[in-house]
Amino acid sequence: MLPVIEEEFSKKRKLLAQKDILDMIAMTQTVPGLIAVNSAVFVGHKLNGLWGMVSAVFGVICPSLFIIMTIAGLFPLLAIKNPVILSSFECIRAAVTAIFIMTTIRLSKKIIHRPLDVFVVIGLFIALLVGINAVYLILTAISIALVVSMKEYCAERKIP
Amino acid sequence: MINFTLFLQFFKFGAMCFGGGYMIIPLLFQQYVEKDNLFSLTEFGNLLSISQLTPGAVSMNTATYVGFLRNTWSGALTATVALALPTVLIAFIALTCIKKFENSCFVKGVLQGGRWAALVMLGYAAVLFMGMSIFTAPLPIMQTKEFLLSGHWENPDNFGINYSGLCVFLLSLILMTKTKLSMTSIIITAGVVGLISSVALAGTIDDTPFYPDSCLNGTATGWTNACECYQGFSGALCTEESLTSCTGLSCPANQYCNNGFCHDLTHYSPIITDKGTFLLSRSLMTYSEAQEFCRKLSAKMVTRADFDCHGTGAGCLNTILLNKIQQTTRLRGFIWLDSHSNKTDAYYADLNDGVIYQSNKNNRKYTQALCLLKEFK
Repeated sequence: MLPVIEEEFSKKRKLLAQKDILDMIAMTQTVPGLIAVNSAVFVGHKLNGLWGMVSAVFGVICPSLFIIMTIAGLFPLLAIKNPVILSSFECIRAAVTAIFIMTTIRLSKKIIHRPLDVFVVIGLFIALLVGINAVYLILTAISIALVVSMKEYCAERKIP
Repeated sequence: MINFTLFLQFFKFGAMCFGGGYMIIPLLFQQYVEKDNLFSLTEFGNLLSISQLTPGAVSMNTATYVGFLRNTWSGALTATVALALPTVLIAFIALTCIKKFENSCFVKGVLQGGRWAALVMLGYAAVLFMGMSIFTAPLPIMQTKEFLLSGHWENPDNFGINYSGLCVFLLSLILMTKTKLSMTSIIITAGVVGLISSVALAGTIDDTPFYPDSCLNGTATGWTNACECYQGFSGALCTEESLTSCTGLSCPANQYCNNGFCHDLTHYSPIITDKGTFLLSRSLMTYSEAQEFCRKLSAKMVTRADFDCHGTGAGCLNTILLNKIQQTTRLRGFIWLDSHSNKTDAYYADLNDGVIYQSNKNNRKYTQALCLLKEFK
């Protein structure tokens, strides 16, 4: 997503400076949420204020809307009982499994550094497997992280 | 109303996607597969695969897809906008006060928590997908939990290794680590492999549909003999005796013979609706209630006599009857509600593949028909 934006807005159309691109990367990494939407908000707002933001977000939503609605409306793939197509889907699911496992491994290399990370991630994972509502788990993860970062902050500034 | 619920649900999902779009998968799974029974696990997997395959962010694609399936285009629009909205709001606030935002320990905390959660959610998605590709059934997590807690191990249903899935899985892993192929091309490759292999193996795959034993071994041909085989699904067979005791009776025109007795047609009124559901009512509905039900659904009503069947009971849902129903009605499938000994069983018969699904399998199609019935009642 980000390289495509850089290519289009900075190199091709010269609408954004290199600095803006760096800012945008920083923002997508410091603001929680969907990366595609985040960058649309940033680029749209930078180029044309509030309306730029609205139209950029609309633009990011549109491909999903049109393509998926066409697929779901014209080819009701989920309702198909044809064994050939079902077997093709079976293989696609296997490939998607591989993608998920690889992405998980890559992400864990980026995220897990300290013993605390291992502890929290494994604990949350077991809780999710056992069937605890994912929403509560996300909120728990954030609360733990907040407490830890507050403690570190206090330790740095020597606030008791 | 559906749109309102969709909006709230997807707004919640959007607000929870702290660490990126993949986090939506467990949220969707818990809501729509486990709680609402809207999709089966495989359908959910296929839905996500299509979303992964098509251009656009996966989370957006999934939202559009689920929204569309729930309430056509307006549902799709609602779900997608609702999913994007929390991020737009947060990003907008962040833009207007970016300087304060960057170094606060609050933001650092939220982001760290989001990363942890994202990793956990992605791992869970991988586990979910393993259960529908490499293995033939979901991983026996609950059984393991039960075993750890009480020491009692219960074998899971149909759990085993799906070898074709495993091969494609390993192949994709190799392609991903050794080549620079994009995810989309790997998925398409897998799909093509599946197409070719199924065409090549056509005819060697045994896909015998599930029928009650009594129907398969011919002992439950009660339909043609106007006899019912009550315990068809629990394994009891129609005996020679029960057949003769039934056929020996000649019942009046408005009655039919069942288990040795003549029964009034009004209590056994099958209904066929144009929406593809077939409700075989027993004590659930009287004949006039059934007529009302069909009128409300603006559906066509057909009685059992229309396809020459004079009995009831799941045990007699045999191939002949399924073919006859499909020829008469051109339905895709039907719901069968059967109440006996104070409990109601429900079956969904899929006329395309001839499979009968039992109610305890948490089947979506059967659940939808039950909802229709509840709404009416």
